[in-house]
Amino acid sequence: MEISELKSSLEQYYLSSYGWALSCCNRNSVEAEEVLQTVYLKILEGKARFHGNSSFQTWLFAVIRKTAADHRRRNLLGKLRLIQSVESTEPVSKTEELDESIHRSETQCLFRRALASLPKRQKEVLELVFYHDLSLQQAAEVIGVSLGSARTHYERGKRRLRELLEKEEAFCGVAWSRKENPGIVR
Amino acid sequence: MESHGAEKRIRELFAEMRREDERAAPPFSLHWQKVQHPASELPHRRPRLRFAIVAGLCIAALAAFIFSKKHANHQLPSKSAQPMAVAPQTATAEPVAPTIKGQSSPKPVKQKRAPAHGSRATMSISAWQSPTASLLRSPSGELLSTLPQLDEFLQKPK
Repeated sequence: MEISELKSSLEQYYLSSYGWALSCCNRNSVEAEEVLQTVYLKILEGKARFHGNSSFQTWLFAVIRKTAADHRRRNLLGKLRLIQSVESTEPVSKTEELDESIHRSETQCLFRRALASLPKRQKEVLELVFYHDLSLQQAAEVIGVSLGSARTHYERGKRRLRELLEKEEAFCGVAWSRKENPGIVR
Repeated sequence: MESHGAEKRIRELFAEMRREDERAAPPFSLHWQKVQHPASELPHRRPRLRFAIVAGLCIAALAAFIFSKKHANHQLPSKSAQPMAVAPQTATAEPVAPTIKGQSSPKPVKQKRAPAHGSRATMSISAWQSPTASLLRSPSGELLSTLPQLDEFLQKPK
């Protein structure tokens, strides 16, 4: 693949790549940007090569997932070394999160919280299927599991997410199911 | 029916999240520029790295040469010490090959020339004798180290 061809392919999938990077980095935008940049650098330097065994998007997502995992591991080691400096920066990121959440709808906040509480694999499969419109087969390729396993994660994740949302809404008094099924509610 | 509705709702929530993420995403060109800079710098970095490797190798070779030189000097005895190590001429009695009359003595086998830089070391090693070598010497040593001539008594004038 030539650089111009590579650039156009990367640009085509940029937004979904960014979304997937966010998902892999627990919705941390700074980390997601770093990961995405590392991924692009890997591709440009030829450390990650597309051989055409799967679709470009599936391959790119797998690279992002792996890079994010490496990044997280390295960050963890860095945190162990520099606990003090991390402690000083943590409140800032929390306030940033709060600022962001103010602009979000309450339902969206509940949804994000519920999604974050899901097991990693279930969350990944759900995001790949619902957020990125990938098939279960493609999601399985990205995560590196069998189709059957991906289907199990999908079903369990969906059920768990629904339960969590219902519980949270019951607690907070926001009923998204009422909006969806107004007939049920009197 | 209810689960179908729930799935639809989940899909909507994901779509909303996606829209939010897309709004917050920095432009692609920004990422591309950042990535391309280190990539364009790479060719400049490589010669520097190569130069460093070559310089390192040269230094290592020089150090090894100096070390080997020093080591060789340590092994070689100094000129003042040489007479002590070298045994006296008489003591180095090599067995003389028997000469038969009418036959020319065999030509001495040409020894291979040792390389110039190692000649001194080779010489000193071949001439070296232990300090206790004189204890092994006896008055009849010469008789033992030379072969007797069979026709010696016949040739003597009576």
